[in-house]
Order: sequence, then structure tokens, then C-alpha cells
Amino acid sequence: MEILNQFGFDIKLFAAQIVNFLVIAYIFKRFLYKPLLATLKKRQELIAKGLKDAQKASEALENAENQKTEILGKASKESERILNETRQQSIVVRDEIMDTAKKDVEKLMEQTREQIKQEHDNFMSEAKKTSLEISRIILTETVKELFDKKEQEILIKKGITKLKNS
Amino acid sequence: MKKNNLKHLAELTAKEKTISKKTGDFILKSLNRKNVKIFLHFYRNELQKKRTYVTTASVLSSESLKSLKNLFKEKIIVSNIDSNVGAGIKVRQEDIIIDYTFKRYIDDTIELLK
Repeated sequence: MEILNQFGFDIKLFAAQIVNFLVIAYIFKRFLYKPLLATLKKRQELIAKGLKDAQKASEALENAENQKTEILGKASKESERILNETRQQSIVVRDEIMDTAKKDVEKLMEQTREQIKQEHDNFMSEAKKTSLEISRIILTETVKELFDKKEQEILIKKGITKLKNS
Repeated sequence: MKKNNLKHLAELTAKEKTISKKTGDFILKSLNRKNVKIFLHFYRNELQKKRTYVTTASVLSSESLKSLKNLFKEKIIVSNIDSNVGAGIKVRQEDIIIDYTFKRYIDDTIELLK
């Protein structure tokens, strides 16, 4: 005890300090610690929630990124497919158009050829008729003076003989 | 007058070479315009039956005419001259035409070539 006294230890003061401490501890616990703890807990929860949300947001972002990549990939494949399909269809349509045009041209040429032939035949037929008609006129005019009286008589007699026999 | 009577009258009239004055007067006095037309139609047909038309390029010789008369007995030979026939003879009896002319030969040849 003396030793403690030598070092300035006062039991009363010590006890008072303990009481003070307990009072302060009580007050602290009663009025400060719990609200502080509640605030801290709240904040901790908030932070945890924020972290969780951030995590969720990150995941959502990642998902969105994945989805975006997936959608873009799909869209790219789809566009490529559509492009290929369109290209194929355009080739088919082009071939069809070319084929139709070729057939049309051939048909037109055939028709033209036929028409030319027809016109040529008509012309030749008309020319033949005309030349024959001219020949008929020339011959008819020529025979008027072709036979003399004696020959005329011979031919008349031949005709009469034929009449007798018919 | 009935058509049959008009036909009979035309047949009798055609038997003569010409229409006598008596017949002519009867026709003109007794028949109306329509019946005269019908009579003339029958008369023309009767004449056609009696006639044979011969077409040649030159005048028929007496020898040829005789041959034709022998050939078409009881028919009147009516001779036509047409230089277009060229040569030969063409005979028409009612609707029948027998053509042995040079023109016919030319026409046939040209038709064949067409």
C-alpha cells in the first residue's frame, strides 16, 4: 500500500475514477454506443448493399456486354446470312432475267426472220404473178400476128376433129 | 298468163327464124310489162338452146363451117371473130364451153406455172 502511495496512487481517486469511468461507460453505452453502432451497422449495410448493387450492376453490365456481343454476333451472322441469301437470290433473279431476255430476243429474232421470209415469199409470189400476167399479155398480143390464114385454118380443123372425137 | 304458158309461147316462137308481126302484136298487146320480161327470158333461153357460138381468130372457111354444121345438126352456128384467141376454135353451147384455142393453151400454161 505504501508503495502505491509512494507512486501517488490514491484509492479514493481511483475508485472515483472507476465510478466516473463506469458512469461515462454507462452513459456512452446508453446514449452514444448504440446509436453509433446502429449508424455504423446501417452504414455498413448501406455499403454492403452498395457493393452488392455494384456487384449486381457489374454483373448486369457484364451480362449486357455478353448479350450485346451475342446479339451483335447473331446480328452479324443474320446479316451475313441475309446478305448471302440476297446475293444468291439476286444471282437467280439475274439469271432468270438474262434467260428471259435471251429467250425474248431469240423469239423476236425468230419472228422477224419469219416475217422477213413471209414478206419475201409474198413479194416473190406477187412478182411471179405479175410476171406471168405480163407474159400472158405479151403472148396474147404476139399470137394475134403469129399465125397466117393457112395455119389458122389447120388449127381450126384440128379443133373440129377434136370436137368430133370428144 | 301463167309462167308455163309463157314458156310454151316462147318455145313456139323460137321455132320460127324470126318473130312474126302477128306474134309480136299479140305479145305486145296481150301481155303486161312483167309478163313480157318473163317471155323474153324464156325466149332467150330457147334461142340459146338452138344456137352454137363458135369463136375463131379468122373467118371460118366454108369447109370448116360445113364440118361444124354436120357436127351440130339442128343448131344455128353463130360465128364470132376474136383475134385475141390467137388460133384454134372455141365452141359454146348453152353452158358448155369447149375451148381449143391458142389463148386457152397460154392461159392453162400460165395457171400451171402459178
